[in-house]
This record gives sequence, C-alpha cells and structure tokens, in this order.
Amino acid sequence: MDTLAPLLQVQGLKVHFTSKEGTVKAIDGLSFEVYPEEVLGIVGESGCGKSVTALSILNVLSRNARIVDGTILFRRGAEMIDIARLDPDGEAMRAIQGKEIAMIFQEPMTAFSPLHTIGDQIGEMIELHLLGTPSAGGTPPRAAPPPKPGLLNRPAVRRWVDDQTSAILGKVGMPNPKEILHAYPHNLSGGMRQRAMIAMGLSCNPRILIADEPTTALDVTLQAQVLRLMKQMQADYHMAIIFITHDLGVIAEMADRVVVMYLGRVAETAAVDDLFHQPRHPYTQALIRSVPKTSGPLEKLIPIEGTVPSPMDMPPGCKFHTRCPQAIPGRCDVREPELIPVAAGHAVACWLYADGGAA
Amino acid sequence: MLAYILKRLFLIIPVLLVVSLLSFMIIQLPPGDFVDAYIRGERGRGRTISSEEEASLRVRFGVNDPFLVQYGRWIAGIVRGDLGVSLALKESVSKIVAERLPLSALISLLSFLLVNLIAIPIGMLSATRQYSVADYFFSILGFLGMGVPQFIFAVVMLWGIYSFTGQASVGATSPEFVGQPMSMAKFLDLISHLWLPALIAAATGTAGTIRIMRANLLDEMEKPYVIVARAKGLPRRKLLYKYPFRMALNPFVVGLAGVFPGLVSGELMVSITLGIPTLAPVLLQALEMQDVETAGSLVFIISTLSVVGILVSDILLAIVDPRIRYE
Ligand SMILES: Nc1ncnc2c1ncn2[C@@H]1O[C@H](COP(=O)(O)OP(=O)(O)OP(=O)(O)O)[C@@H](O)[C@H]1O
Ligand SMILES: [Mg+2]
Repeated sequence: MDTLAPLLQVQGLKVHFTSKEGTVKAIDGLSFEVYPEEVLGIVGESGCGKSVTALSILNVLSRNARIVDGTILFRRGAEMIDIARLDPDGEAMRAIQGKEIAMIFQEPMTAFSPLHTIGDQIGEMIELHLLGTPSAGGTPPRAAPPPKPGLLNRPAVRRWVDDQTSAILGKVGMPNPKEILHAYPHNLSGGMRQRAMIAMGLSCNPRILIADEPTTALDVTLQAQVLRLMKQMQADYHMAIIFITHDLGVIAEMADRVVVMYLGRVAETAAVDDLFHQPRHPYTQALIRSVPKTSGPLEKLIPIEGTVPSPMDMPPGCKFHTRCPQAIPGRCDVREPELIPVAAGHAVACWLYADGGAA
Repeated sequence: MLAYILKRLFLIIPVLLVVSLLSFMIIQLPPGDFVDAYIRGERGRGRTISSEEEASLRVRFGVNDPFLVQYGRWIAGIVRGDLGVSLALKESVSKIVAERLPLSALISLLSFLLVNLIAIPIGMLSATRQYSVADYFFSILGFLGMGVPQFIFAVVMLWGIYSFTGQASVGATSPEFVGQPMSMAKFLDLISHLWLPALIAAATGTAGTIRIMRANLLDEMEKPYVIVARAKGLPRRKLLYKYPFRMALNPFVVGLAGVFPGLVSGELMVSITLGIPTLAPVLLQALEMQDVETAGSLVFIISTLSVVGILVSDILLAIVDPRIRYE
C-alpha cells in the first residue's frame, strides 16, 4: 500500500472545544494517512477523540469546536485540498461531503430524522450529488443515466432518484427496498436502520467511507452481519474505509492497518498483523491484554490501570505516563514523544523506542 | 384515525359535564349570592332595599334553590342551546356572546398571527446567528417584552392615543357603525380599531415565542440527524428548513391548543384598559357578582373550546409527526 499516494493525510491536527468548564483539547497533534482502497482501523478508549476525528474530516464539527492547527489534505485527482481550511458550509466543502467522503454514524436511530422517510433522506443525497453528473457511473455502473434536472422534469427525476435509492437499499440486503423507501426510521428494526445508514453512506460512491462504531448499537449476530456487509461493499465499491471502534476484535477482523489513539494523539500505527503480534507501545500492549481471548486457555483479564485523565487537564509529557508501568521518570513526564518508526509501516510514539530502541 | 377522532369527540361530553359541575360549584363557593351583590350595588347608588323586596328578588332569581336544582335548571338550558340570562346586564347570555365573541376572537386571532409572523423569523435569525448583534438586540427586546406587564403597554399606548386624538378609549368601532349589521366597511373599521389591542396582546407572546423558537432551533441544530444532513453536503438553507426548523415547529402545534379558549377568555387586561367590549370583562364581572348562569355559560364555552383545541392540535400533530399515530 505504501507505494500508492495517500488519499487523505491528517497532519498535526488540533481540535479544541470551548465549554463553560474550559477548553477541551480533544485532538492534540494527530497525524495519520489513509490510502486508496484500504481499511484503516482507528481504535482507542472512549473519549480519546475518535468521533471528533471523523467529524473533523467531514468538517461538520459542532459550533463550539475549532480546528486550531494542522491540515487535513484530501487528494482529488492531482490537487490536494486542505479540508481544515475550507468553509464548513461553503460550496467546495459541500461538494466533498457525501460525494467524496461519506460517513456511517454510530446511532442510526438518532442519525435519521424521524419526520422524513428513508427514501427521502437517502434520495436527497443522490439527487444532490449524482443528478446532472453523467460520469457518476463509477463502480458498479448505474443502470440508467440520470435525467436532466429541472422543474418540468420533476416526475422523471423523482422516479430516477427512487430507482437509485431502492437499488442501493437492495444492495445492502434490504428485503423489500421499494417499500422501505416510504418507511420512516421508527418503522425499521435496529439492524435495518443500520443497513439503511450504510446504504446512505454508499449511495454516491464515496472514495472514503468513515464508519464510526457502526455496530456498537447492535446485538452480536447483527454485528457480524453488518461487518460482513461492509466487507462485501468495500470489495464491490473499491473505496477506502476508516473504521472506528473501541473493539480490538472488530479491528482484527476488518482492518488492514491500525491507528491506536490515546487522548487525541496517535500512540501507535502499524499493519494489523504487526500490531497484534508485535505491539510496541505499552498502551497498545495493555489494550490487547485487556481483551478476553475466545480461543485457547482462559487467561486472566487484565484491565488497564488508572483512569483516563480529563482532556481539560492533561498531564505534561507523554499523556499515558500516568498509567504506564514502564514510564521513565524525568523523561516521559516531561516531553511528549513524537512518532518513531520502528519497522516498515510501524511507528510508535513512546520514549522507550527513542535512540534506536533503548528498550 | 377517523375512529379515533370520533371516540375523542364522544369523550368530550362527559368531560364537559364534569367540568361544568365543578365550575358551577366553585363559582358558588364564596359566601353570599347574586342578590347580596346586587343589593350592595344598589346601596352604593343610595337606594335602600326592603327585606320584602330582597325576599322577592331571591325568589325571582332562584338563588335560594338548592345547588343541584340551580345546576339542573342551567344545564337543561345549555342542552337546549339556551345559555341563560345575565342578571347583571339584564340580557340573554346568548345575545351578549353573539355581540362580543367576534371582537374577542378577532383580537385573539390577530394577536396570534402577529406573534407568529414576528416571532418565528426573528427566532430563526437569533438561532442561526447566535451571539450576533442582532441576536443580542432581539434578546434584550424579548426580555423587555416578557418583563413589562401587559397593562403597562396598554396604559402607555392609551396615553399616546389620548395625547394625539383626545380620546380616552379605543373602543371597537367608530360611532357610525355601532349597532349596524356586519359589512365590509364595518369589518375594516373593526380591524383598524383592533390592531392596537392585538399588538399589545401580542407583545408578551412574541417575546416568549422568540425565546422558545430560538431555544428549540439551537437544540435541534446540534442533533445527530442535523450533523448527518450537513455531512451529506446539503445547501445549508435548505437543510435548515427541511430538518431543524420543521422539528422546532412541533411545540407550536401543541401550543395551538391554547389559542382556542383564548378566543373567549383572552386579552382581559387589554380589553379593560382600552375599553373594548369583549367577553373577558363580562366573565370577570359575572364572577365578581356570582352571576352563576352567566359565569357558568362562559366557562362552559371556554371549556368546550379547550377540549376541541386539544383535539385539533393532537390531530395536527399526528399529521406533521409520523411517529404519532392514533389507533
Ligand atoms: N461538543 C462537544 N463539546 C465539548 N467537548 C466535546 C464535544 N464533543 C466531544 N467532546 C470531547 O472531546 C473528547 C473526544 O470525544 P469523542 O466523542 O471524539 O470520543 P470517542 O473517542 O469518539 O469516544 P466514544 O468511544 O465514547 O465514542 C471527549 O473528551 C469529549 O468530552
Ligand atoms: Mg465516538
């Protein structure tokens, strides 16, 4: 994958929230890349900034958030667009949202408007991005070319949009897509709603699909189904997926490469096999130890010690040193480590690996 | 849905019976009765009333009858469509209602329209430009509108009118239209008199509604479904109207229920201060004098409108919100 140019490059990103209690440094110097057609897993404990990362890439942060530093470079053809510099409501950003980068949200119940039909909510996106763009075919090619937009052509447009919408709903395994068009979110089961959400994400053939804990709200059997569906869709649509989860098991199943996040920064990044076989960062090691093994002899489950510090009151130095069993006094609690390459495609932000791997 | 509406309509009857019985009881609760109040009034005018006269008045007005007999007499009339006689105004309540209800309703409707036409756009502006100069300006104006009592507005307006025209009241119609049947000219004359009381009545409501609209919209605009809509790349104006605005309107549909009883009982303060012959002052007087039939009939109309108002807003809510379905 490294031979390809990255599709998305996040560099030194800092996102701060202003709240009554003070400034929350939710993302504090985050860097990673996404390559074409790969599944990048982002894993980390609750509150480490996974969702904020996703919302930053789509430029849909809430009003009290500010990108204070860094770039989010998105490659379109030969040009690199810095999403962090685009007006969140401007035309350039809107042309990327939904069309180039789409997102599947964690809670499909609240992510759909309760007052509009599924067909309406998916269809409006198709109409917005695919109507009047004959090249919209992509892969897989669309059955019929879009009709000319315009008031007079309204019925034809509606029919075309409905056809496209029910086609994509069928693609994600909805049993009767024509009827689902007219269903409201509350008419569907949780699993169906998440399928509709996935259909919406796929509807415009995005080049990057961000999935923020797409299975957390579902029970185990549905989780497996949805994961299988997403793999299938990635194979069919050839897009890159940023798969966000706090479940290492899901990461092992889905991801090609992994970014381990801790308090708004990358702790470690590696190909998925390297990460599980040779975790370098004490945090990654602790994360992996804390996962109950389903096969092999039953090991004692070791929870990660200590609690996550408040993002409003970050410790100096490496943010993990307060919980790290290998912390070096005078070093880890003083300066923050940068990402250090330890092997091909494997980097870790930890002082233990500075100076050619002192540990 | 239709079956549900019929059921609800049918349920209105027992509700009204209970409400009317209770209100009839409460009206009679204070010591004394209409004759006492009447005699007090006459004495105030320097006329003495002998005890024989008092006794015959009591018989004539039926105030000595047991409570249930009085209630029975009144409710039997209601069922026949007879609202009884106002002892104080010495006129049939039906006639009073017919004369004054249009004025009450007109003021209420005008102020309702004013409130929403002014408040909803301003609320939207305040929410979409939170903490802008315009937002602060309307917030201050809004708090003033909510904080200043209605009668102060009315008195200040009255003072203004007096210093311009020399008249001390607004009234409902120009003298040439008094007692005339309704015509286009009279209607226009009415509106030209009533916009002022409607505006005063609207002031408080507008201020409150701006705050509600602003808060609702700000609330909705951070909901996940709006973030999702932004992530689709929808033009922001279209998005605003289609999603958060639509959702923020729901509480207004609920609030519509309150407009109905207000058609009769609303705008008391304004009517009294500006001297407009609406129903609210009649109700107040009837309550003061324990004129049970008049008060009972007006309360009965108000209750009916309340129940109907709730039904109408429930039906509208089911139409605008697909999550609500009545079986
Ligand atoms: N709108 C907001 N206002 C203030 N702080 C926020 C806001 N949204 C997120 N944060 C803060 O940013 C930090 C990162 O939050 P984020 O939602 O990205 O975590 P996460 O990794 O997605 O966690 P989870 O696994 O629970 O979804 C948290 O400390 C959170 O409190
Ligand atoms: Mg999250």
